[in-house]
Amino acid sequence: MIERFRYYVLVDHKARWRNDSACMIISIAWYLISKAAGVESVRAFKVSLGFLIVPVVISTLWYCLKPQGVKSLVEIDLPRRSLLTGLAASIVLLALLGFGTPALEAAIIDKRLRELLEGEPTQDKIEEATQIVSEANDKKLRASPQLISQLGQKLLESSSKPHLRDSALTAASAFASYRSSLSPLPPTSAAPSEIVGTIVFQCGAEPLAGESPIVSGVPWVKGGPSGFGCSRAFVHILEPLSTQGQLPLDGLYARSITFVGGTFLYDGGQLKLESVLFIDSRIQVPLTNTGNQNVQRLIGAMLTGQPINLDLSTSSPMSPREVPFREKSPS
Amino acid sequence: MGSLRQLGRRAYRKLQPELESWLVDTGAFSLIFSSLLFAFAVFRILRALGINADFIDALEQLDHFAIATSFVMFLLTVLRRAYAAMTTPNAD
Repeated sequence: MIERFRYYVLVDHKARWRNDSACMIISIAWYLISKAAGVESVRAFKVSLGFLIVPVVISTLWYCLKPQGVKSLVEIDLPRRSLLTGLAASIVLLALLGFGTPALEAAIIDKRLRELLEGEPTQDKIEEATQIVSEANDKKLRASPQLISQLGQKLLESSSKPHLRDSALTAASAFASYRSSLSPLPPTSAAPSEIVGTIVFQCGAEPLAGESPIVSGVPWVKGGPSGFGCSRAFVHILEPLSTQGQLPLDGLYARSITFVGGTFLYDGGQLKLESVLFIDSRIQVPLTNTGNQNVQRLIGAMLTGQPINLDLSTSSPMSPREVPFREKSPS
Repeated sequence: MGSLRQLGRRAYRKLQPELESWLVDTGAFSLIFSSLLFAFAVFRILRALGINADFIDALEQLDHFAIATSFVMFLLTVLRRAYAAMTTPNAD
Protein backbone atom coordinates (compact mmCIF):
# COMPACT_ATOMS: atom_id res chain seq x y z
CA MET A 1 0.00 0.00 0.00
CA ILE A 2 2.84 2.39 0.86
CA GLU A 3 4.44 1.60 -2.49
CA ARG A 4 1.22 2.49 -4.26
CA PHE A 5 0.96 5.68 -2.25
CA ARG A 6 4.47 6.71 -3.21
CA TYR A 7 3.76 5.90 -6.81
CA TYR A 8 0.57 7.97 -6.71
CA VAL A 9 2.20 10.99 -5.09
CA LEU A 10 5.59 11.01 -6.76
CA VAL A 11 5.07 9.37 -10.15
CA ASP A 12 1.51 9.12 -11.36
CA HIS A 13 0.84 12.85 -11.61
CA LYS A 14 -1.85 12.42 -14.20
CA ALA A 15 -4.04 10.22 -12.00
CA ARG A 16 -3.41 12.41 -8.97
CA TRP A 17 -4.21 15.65 -10.76
CA ARG A 18 -7.29 14.13 -12.35
CA ASN A 19 -8.58 12.95 -8.97
CA ASP A 20 -7.63 16.18 -7.19
CA SER A 21 -9.26 18.31 -9.88
CA ALA A 22 -12.44 16.27 -9.54
CA CYS A 23 -12.35 16.90 -5.77
CA MET A 24 -11.90 20.63 -6.34
CA ILE A 25 -14.83 20.67 -8.76
CA ILE A 26 -17.01 18.83 -6.22
CA SER A 27 -16.03 21.33 -3.54
CA ILE A 28 -16.66 24.40 -5.69
CA ALA A 29 -19.96 22.96 -6.91
CA TRP A 30 -21.04 22.39 -3.31
CA TYR A 31 -20.09 25.97 -2.46
CA LEU A 32 -22.18 27.28 -5.36
CA ILE A 33 -25.14 25.13 -4.36
CA SER A 34 -24.83 26.31 -0.75
CA LYS A 35 -24.73 29.96 -1.82
CA ALA A 36 -27.68 29.46 -4.15
CA ALA A 37 -29.58 27.86 -1.26
CA GLY A 38 -28.88 30.94 0.85
CA VAL A 39 -26.47 29.31 3.31
CA GLU A 40 -24.43 31.80 5.33
CA SER A 41 -21.08 32.57 3.67
CA VAL A 42 -18.80 31.40 6.47
CA ARG A 43 -20.68 28.15 6.92
CA ALA A 44 -20.76 27.48 3.16
CA PHE A 45 -17.03 28.16 3.03
CA LYS A 46 -16.18 25.73 5.84
CA VAL A 47 -18.47 22.93 4.73
CA SER A 48 -17.29 23.19 1.13
CA LEU A 49 -13.66 22.97 2.23
CA GLY A 50 -14.66 19.81 4.08
CA PHE A 51 -16.06 18.58 0.78
CA LEU A 52 -12.58 19.08 -0.62
CA ILE A 53 -10.52 17.38 2.07
CA VAL A 54 -12.68 14.28 2.51
CA PRO A 55 -12.81 13.35 -1.22
CA VAL A 56 -9.04 13.94 -1.50
CA VAL A 57 -8.41 11.51 1.36
CA ILE A 58 -10.88 8.99 -0.09
CA SER A 59 -9.44 9.21 -3.62
CA THR A 60 -5.89 8.78 -2.28
CA LEU A 61 -6.88 5.75 -0.21
CA TRP A 62 -8.85 4.32 -3.09
CA TYR A 63 -5.85 4.57 -5.39
CA CYS A 64 -3.64 2.88 -2.81
CA LEU A 65 -6.06 0.07 -2.04
CA LYS A 66 -7.48 -0.70 -5.47
CA PRO A 67 -6.36 -3.94 -7.19
CA GLN A 68 -3.00 -3.68 -8.91
CA GLY A 69 -4.48 -4.83 -12.22
CA VAL A 70 -6.35 -1.59 -12.79
CA LYS A 71 -3.60 0.74 -11.72
CA SER A 72 -3.02 3.78 -13.83
CA LEU A 73 0.22 3.49 -15.71
CA VAL A 74 0.04 6.89 -17.31
CA GLU A 75 2.74 9.28 -16.24
CA ILE A 76 3.20 12.85 -17.21
CA ASP A 77 5.97 12.83 -19.70
CA LEU A 78 6.64 16.46 -20.42
CA PRO A 79 10.07 17.69 -21.40
CA ARG A 80 11.32 19.49 -18.32
CA ARG A 81 12.61 22.52 -20.13
CA SER A 82 9.41 23.21 -22.07
CA LEU A 83 7.33 22.68 -18.95
CA LEU A 84 9.44 25.11 -16.97
CA THR A 85 9.52 27.70 -19.74
CA GLY A 86 5.79 27.48 -20.38
CA LEU A 87 4.82 27.74 -16.75
CA ALA A 88 7.26 30.53 -15.99
CA ALA A 89 6.12 32.53 -19.04
CA SER A 90 2.46 32.13 -18.09
CA ILE A 91 3.09 33.20 -14.50
CA VAL A 92 5.15 36.23 -15.56
CA LEU A 93 2.46 37.24 -18.06
CA LEU A 94 -0.32 36.94 -15.50
CA ALA A 95 1.74 38.78 -12.89
CA LEU A 96 2.46 41.62 -15.32
CA LEU A 97 -1.20 41.89 -16.20
CA GLY A 98 -2.05 41.83 -12.49
CA PHE A 99 0.43 44.61 -11.70
CA GLY A 100 -0.65 46.66 -14.69
CA THR A 101 -4.33 46.68 -13.86
CA PRO A 102 -4.22 49.12 -10.89
CA ALA A 103 -2.88 51.77 -13.26
CA LEU A 104 -5.56 50.93 -15.80
CA GLU A 105 -8.23 50.97 -13.11
CA ALA A 106 -7.09 54.40 -11.92
CA ALA A 107 -7.00 55.71 -15.50
CA ILE A 108 -10.57 54.54 -16.09
CA ILE A 109 -11.93 56.20 -12.94
CA ASP A 110 -9.94 59.38 -13.64
CA LYS A 111 -11.32 59.57 -17.16
CA ARG A 112 -14.91 59.04 -16.05
CA LEU A 113 -14.69 61.71 -13.37
CA ARG A 114 -12.81 64.19 -15.55
CA GLU A 115 -15.33 63.89 -18.37
CA LEU A 116 -18.24 64.16 -15.96
CA LEU A 117 -17.05 67.26 -14.13
CA GLU A 118 -15.67 69.08 -17.14
CA GLY A 119 -17.16 72.56 -17.40
CA GLU A 120 -19.85 73.81 -15.08
CA PRO A 121 -21.13 71.12 -12.67
CA THR A 122 -24.86 70.46 -12.68
CA GLN A 123 -27.03 68.69 -10.14
CA ASP A 124 -27.12 65.46 -12.19
CA LYS A 125 -23.39 65.47 -12.85
CA ILE A 126 -22.60 66.06 -9.20
CA GLU A 127 -24.85 63.22 -8.11
CA GLU A 128 -23.30 60.86 -10.66
CA ALA A 129 -19.79 61.87 -9.58
CA THR A 130 -20.74 61.23 -5.94
CA GLN A 131 -21.96 57.80 -6.89
CA ILE A 132 -18.77 56.95 -8.81
CA VAL A 133 -16.56 58.11 -5.96
CA SER A 134 -18.62 56.33 -3.28
CA GLU A 135 -18.52 53.07 -5.23
CA ALA A 136 -14.79 53.43 -5.84
CA ASN A 137 -14.29 54.05 -2.12
CA ASP A 138 -16.44 51.09 -1.11
CA LYS A 139 -14.65 48.74 -3.46
CA LYS A 140 -11.20 50.14 -2.65
CA LEU A 141 -10.51 51.13 -6.25
CA ARG A 142 -7.57 53.43 -6.92
CA ALA A 143 -7.67 56.80 -8.64
CA SER A 144 -5.30 59.71 -8.96
CA PRO A 145 -5.14 61.48 -5.53
CA GLN A 146 -4.31 64.80 -7.22
CA LEU A 147 -7.35 64.61 -9.47
CA ILE A 148 -9.62 63.70 -6.56
CA SER A 149 -8.30 66.70 -4.59
CA GLN A 150 -8.73 68.99 -7.58
CA LEU A 151 -12.26 67.86 -8.44
CA GLY A 152 -13.24 67.88 -4.76
CA GLN A 153 -12.13 71.51 -4.45
CA LYS A 154 -14.11 72.36 -7.56
CA LEU A 155 -17.22 70.81 -6.03
CA LEU A 156 -16.56 72.65 -2.79
CA GLU A 157 -16.48 75.90 -4.71
CA SER A 158 -19.74 74.95 -6.43
CA SER A 159 -21.36 74.64 -3.02
CA SER A 160 -21.40 78.43 -2.88
CA LYS A 161 -24.25 78.36 -5.41
CA PRO A 162 -27.51 78.08 -3.48
CA HIS A 163 -29.16 75.59 -5.84
CA LEU A 164 -26.13 73.25 -5.71
CA ARG A 165 -25.16 73.77 -2.09
CA ASP A 166 -26.37 70.50 -0.52
CA SER A 167 -25.45 68.16 -3.36
CA ALA A 168 -22.08 69.83 -3.97
CA LEU A 169 -21.09 69.66 -0.30
CA THR A 170 -22.23 66.05 -0.03
CA ALA A 171 -20.17 65.31 -3.13
CA ALA A 172 -17.18 67.20 -1.73
CA SER A 173 -17.36 65.19 1.51
CA ALA A 174 -17.51 61.98 -0.54
CA PHE A 175 -14.42 63.16 -2.46
CA ALA A 176 -12.68 64.04 0.83
CA SER A 177 -13.46 60.58 2.22
CA TYR A 178 -12.18 58.96 -0.95
CA ARG A 179 -9.07 61.16 -0.93
CA SER A 180 -8.30 59.99 2.61
CA SER A 181 -8.42 56.39 1.43
CA LEU A 182 -5.77 57.14 -1.20
CA SER A 183 -3.20 58.37 1.33
CA PRO A 184 -0.51 56.07 2.69
CA LEU A 185 0.10 55.69 6.42
CA PRO A 186 2.71 58.16 7.66
CA PRO A 187 5.82 57.17 9.64
CA THR A 188 5.11 57.14 13.37
CA SER A 189 8.47 57.60 15.01
CA ALA A 190 7.90 61.03 16.52
CA ALA A 191 6.18 61.18 19.90
CA PRO A 192 4.19 64.08 21.30
CA SER A 193 6.34 66.14 23.62
CA GLU A 194 4.24 68.75 25.38
CA ILE A 195 1.32 68.50 27.73
CA VAL A 196 -1.90 70.14 26.63
CA GLY A 197 -5.50 69.59 27.53
CA THR A 198 -7.56 68.49 30.46
CA ILE A 199 -8.43 65.00 29.36
CA VAL A 200 -5.23 63.19 28.69
CA PHE A 201 -5.36 60.24 26.41
CA GLN A 202 -2.65 57.66 26.15
CA CYS A 203 -3.13 54.62 24.02
CA GLY A 204 -3.35 51.29 25.75
CA ALA A 205 -3.70 52.68 29.27
CA GLU A 206 -5.99 54.62 31.54
CA PRO A 207 -5.72 58.36 31.08
CA LEU A 208 -3.23 59.82 33.51
CA ALA A 209 -2.75 63.50 34.17
CA GLY A 210 0.70 64.62 33.11
CA GLU A 211 1.12 62.23 30.22
CA SER A 212 1.34 63.34 26.66
CA PRO A 213 -2.14 64.05 25.34
CA ILE A 214 -3.24 63.08 21.91
CA VAL A 215 -6.99 63.36 21.78
CA SER A 216 -9.28 65.25 24.07
CA GLY A 217 -12.73 66.66 24.15
CA VAL A 218 -14.61 63.55 23.06
CA PRO A 219 -16.32 60.76 24.96
CA TRP A 220 -13.91 57.93 25.38
CA VAL A 221 -13.32 54.55 26.96
CA LYS A 222 -10.24 52.72 28.18
CA GLY A 223 -7.71 52.61 25.39
CA GLY A 224 -9.08 55.41 23.28
CA PRO A 225 -11.96 57.64 22.34
CA SER A 226 -15.30 55.92 22.31
CA GLY A 227 -15.26 53.27 19.63
CA PHE A 228 -11.62 53.85 18.77
CA GLY A 229 -8.50 52.11 20.00
CA CYS A 230 -4.78 52.12 19.58
CA SER A 231 -3.45 49.86 16.93
CA ARG A 232 -0.21 48.65 15.42
CA ALA A 233 1.54 49.39 18.72
CA PHE A 234 1.89 53.03 17.75
CA VAL A 235 0.48 55.70 20.01
CA HIS A 236 -0.13 57.97 17.06
CA ILE A 237 -2.53 55.78 15.18
CA LEU A 238 -6.10 55.26 16.23
CA GLU A 239 -8.40 52.85 14.51
CA PRO A 240 -12.06 52.17 15.16
CA LEU A 241 -12.73 49.09 17.27
CA SER A 242 -15.33 48.00 14.76
CA THR A 243 -16.23 48.90 11.20
CA GLN A 244 -19.15 50.86 12.61
CA GLY A 245 -16.82 53.10 14.66
CA GLN A 246 -18.00 56.70 14.60
CA LEU A 247 -16.51 59.74 16.24
CA PRO A 248 -18.17 63.15 16.50
CA LEU A 249 -15.64 65.84 15.72
CA ASP A 250 -17.51 68.68 17.37
CA GLY A 251 -15.60 69.76 20.44
CA LEU A 252 -12.57 67.65 19.58
CA TYR A 253 -8.98 68.62 20.08
CA ALA A 254 -6.45 66.29 18.51
CA ARG A 255 -2.77 66.73 18.00
CA SER A 256 -0.16 64.72 16.11
CA ILE A 257 -2.45 61.83 15.50
CA THR A 258 -3.54 59.76 12.55
CA PHE A 259 -7.03 58.35 12.41
CA VAL A 260 -7.24 55.25 10.28
CA GLY A 261 -10.71 54.16 9.19
CA GLY A 262 -13.95 55.06 10.91
CA THR A 263 -16.61 57.61 10.24
CA PHE A 264 -16.36 61.18 11.49
CA LEU A 265 -19.44 63.26 12.04
CA TYR A 266 -19.06 66.98 11.92
CA ASP A 267 -21.77 69.47 12.57
CA GLY A 268 -19.72 72.63 12.20
CA GLY A 269 -18.89 73.09 15.88
CA GLN A 270 -15.62 73.92 17.58
CA LEU A 271 -12.74 71.83 16.42
CA LYS A 272 -9.00 72.08 16.78
CA LEU A 273 -6.68 69.85 14.81
CA GLU A 274 -2.90 70.08 14.89
CA SER A 275 -1.03 67.89 12.46
CA VAL A 276 -3.90 65.43 12.23
CA LEU A 277 -4.24 63.05 9.35
CA PHE A 278 -7.27 61.07 8.25
CA ILE A 279 -6.57 57.85 6.39
CA ASP A 280 -9.32 55.77 4.85
CA SER A 281 -11.86 57.73 6.89
CA ARG A 282 -15.30 58.97 6.03
CA ILE A 283 -16.59 62.39 6.85
CA GLN A 284 -20.30 62.92 7.22
CA VAL A 285 -21.96 66.29 7.46
CA PRO A 286 -25.66 66.83 8.15
CA LEU A 287 -27.48 68.39 5.22
CA THR A 288 -29.04 70.90 7.59
CA ASN A 289 -25.65 72.44 8.16
CA THR A 290 -24.11 72.58 4.70
CA GLY A 291 -23.84 76.36 4.81
CA ASN A 292 -21.53 76.25 7.79
CA GLN A 293 -18.10 77.66 6.95
CA ASN A 294 -16.39 75.31 9.40
CA VAL A 295 -17.75 72.29 7.57
CA GLN A 296 -16.45 73.63 4.28
CA ARG A 297 -13.04 74.40 5.75
CA LEU A 298 -12.67 70.94 7.23
CA ILE A 299 -13.65 69.26 3.95
CA GLY A 300 -11.29 71.54 2.06
CA ALA A 301 -8.46 70.59 4.42
CA MET A 302 -9.23 66.89 4.09
CA LEU A 303 -9.21 67.17 0.31
CA THR A 304 -5.55 68.18 0.34
CA GLY A 305 -4.55 64.81 1.75
CA GLN A 306 -1.97 66.56 3.95
CA PRO A 307 -1.80 66.70 7.77
CA ILE A 308 -4.50 69.11 8.90
CA ASN A 309 -3.90 72.19 11.03
CA LEU A 310 -7.20 73.88 11.73
CA ASP A 311 -8.64 75.91 14.53
CA LEU A 312 -12.37 76.15 13.98
CA SER A 313 -13.34 77.62 17.28
CA THR A 314 -14.65 81.05 16.37
CA SER A 315 -14.97 81.53 12.63
CA SER A 316 -18.46 80.20 12.18
CA PRO A 317 -21.82 80.43 13.94
CA MET A 318 -22.27 77.66 16.49
CA SER A 319 -24.62 74.85 15.79
CA PRO A 320 -27.11 73.82 18.49
CA ARG A 321 -25.59 70.35 18.92
CA GLU A 322 -22.16 71.63 19.68
CA VAL A 323 -20.38 70.57 22.90
CA PRO A 324 -18.16 72.97 24.81
CA PHE A 325 -14.55 72.98 23.79
CA ARG A 326 -12.15 71.85 26.49
CA GLU A 327 -9.46 74.33 27.22
CA LYS A 328 -5.90 73.75 28.26
CA SER A 329 -5.72 72.61 31.86
CA PRO A 330 -4.02 74.66 34.49
CA SER A 331 -0.82 72.89 35.43
CA MET B 1 35.81 23.88 -11.41
CA GLY B 2 35.33 20.69 -13.38
CA SER B 3 34.86 18.58 -10.27
CA LEU B 4 32.36 21.09 -8.92
CA ARG B 5 30.34 20.80 -12.10
CA GLN B 6 30.56 17.01 -11.87
CA LEU B 7 29.36 17.15 -8.29
CA GLY B 8 26.49 19.37 -9.35
CA ARG B 9 25.54 16.98 -12.12
CA ARG B 10 25.59 14.01 -9.79
CA ALA B 11 23.43 15.81 -7.26
CA TYR B 12 21.03 16.90 -9.98
CA ARG B 13 20.80 13.35 -11.38
CA LYS B 14 19.99 12.06 -7.94
CA LEU B 15 17.38 14.71 -7.29
CA GLN B 16 15.95 14.78 -10.82
CA PRO B 17 12.86 12.60 -10.29
CA GLU B 18 11.92 14.50 -7.16
CA LEU B 19 12.66 17.81 -8.83
CA GLU B 20 10.47 17.06 -11.83
CA SER B 21 7.71 15.97 -9.57
CA TRP B 22 7.92 19.22 -7.58
CA LEU B 23 8.07 21.18 -10.80
CA VAL B 24 4.75 19.75 -11.93
CA ASP B 25 3.02 20.64 -8.68
CA THR B 26 4.54 24.00 -7.83
CA GLY B 27 4.28 25.19 -11.42
CA ALA B 28 0.69 24.12 -11.73
CA PHE B 29 -0.31 25.62 -8.40
CA SER B 30 1.49 28.87 -9.17
CA LEU B 31 -0.43 29.06 -12.41
CA ILE B 32 -3.72 28.44 -10.64
CA PHE B 33 -2.97 31.06 -7.97
CA SER B 34 -1.86 33.63 -10.54
CA SER B 35 -4.97 33.06 -12.65
CA LEU B 36 -7.28 33.39 -9.67
CA LEU B 37 -5.54 36.53 -8.46
CA PHE B 38 -5.68 37.93 -11.95
CA ALA B 39 -9.43 37.37 -11.88
CA PHE B 40 -9.62 39.88 -9.02
CA ALA B 41 -7.87 42.46 -11.18
CA VAL B 42 -10.44 41.88 -13.90
CA PHE B 43 -13.29 42.36 -11.43
CA ARG B 44 -11.77 45.64 -10.31
CA ILE B 45 -11.52 46.85 -13.88
CA LEU B 46 -15.17 45.99 -14.44
CA ARG B 47 -16.07 47.96 -11.32
CA ALA B 48 -13.93 50.89 -12.42
CA LEU B 49 -15.89 50.88 -15.66
CA GLY B 50 -19.04 51.35 -13.61
CA ILE B 51 -20.34 47.81 -13.85
CA ASN B 52 -21.54 47.04 -10.36
CA ALA B 53 -23.75 44.08 -11.05
CA ASP B 54 -24.47 41.41 -8.45
CA PHE B 55 -22.80 38.78 -10.58
CA ILE B 56 -19.42 40.49 -10.04
CA ASP B 57 -19.88 40.21 -6.28
CA ALA B 58 -20.84 36.56 -6.67
CA LEU B 59 -17.85 35.86 -8.92
CA GLU B 60 -15.54 37.60 -6.49
CA GLN B 61 -16.80 35.44 -3.64
CA LEU B 62 -16.35 32.37 -5.78
CA ASP B 63 -12.84 33.51 -6.60
CA HIS B 64 -12.08 33.84 -2.88
CA PHE B 65 -13.27 30.33 -2.35
CA ALA B 66 -11.35 28.99 -5.35
CA ILE B 67 -8.15 30.52 -3.96
CA ALA B 68 -8.79 28.93 -0.57
CA THR B 69 -9.54 25.62 -2.27
CA SER B 70 -6.38 25.61 -4.33
CA PHE B 71 -4.33 26.64 -1.30
CA VAL B 72 -5.76 23.76 0.75
CA MET B 73 -5.07 21.47 -2.23
CA PHE B 74 -1.49 22.68 -2.30
CA LEU B 75 -1.10 21.97 1.44
CA LEU B 76 -2.57 18.49 1.01
CA THR B 77 -0.16 17.84 -1.84
CA VAL B 78 2.80 18.95 0.25
CA LEU B 79 1.64 16.78 3.17
CA ARG B 80 1.22 13.72 0.98
CA ARG B 81 4.56 14.31 -0.65
CA ALA B 82 6.28 14.74 2.71
CA TYR B 83 4.74 11.50 3.94
CA ALA B 84 5.81 9.70 0.78
CA ALA B 85 9.35 11.04 1.16
CA MET B 86 9.47 9.97 4.82
CA THR B 87 8.41 6.43 4.00
CA THR B 88 10.81 6.04 1.09
CA PRO B 89 13.61 3.68 2.04
CA ASN B 90 17.07 5.25 1.90
CA ALA B 91 18.87 4.18 -1.26
CA ASP B 92 22.23 4.35 0.49
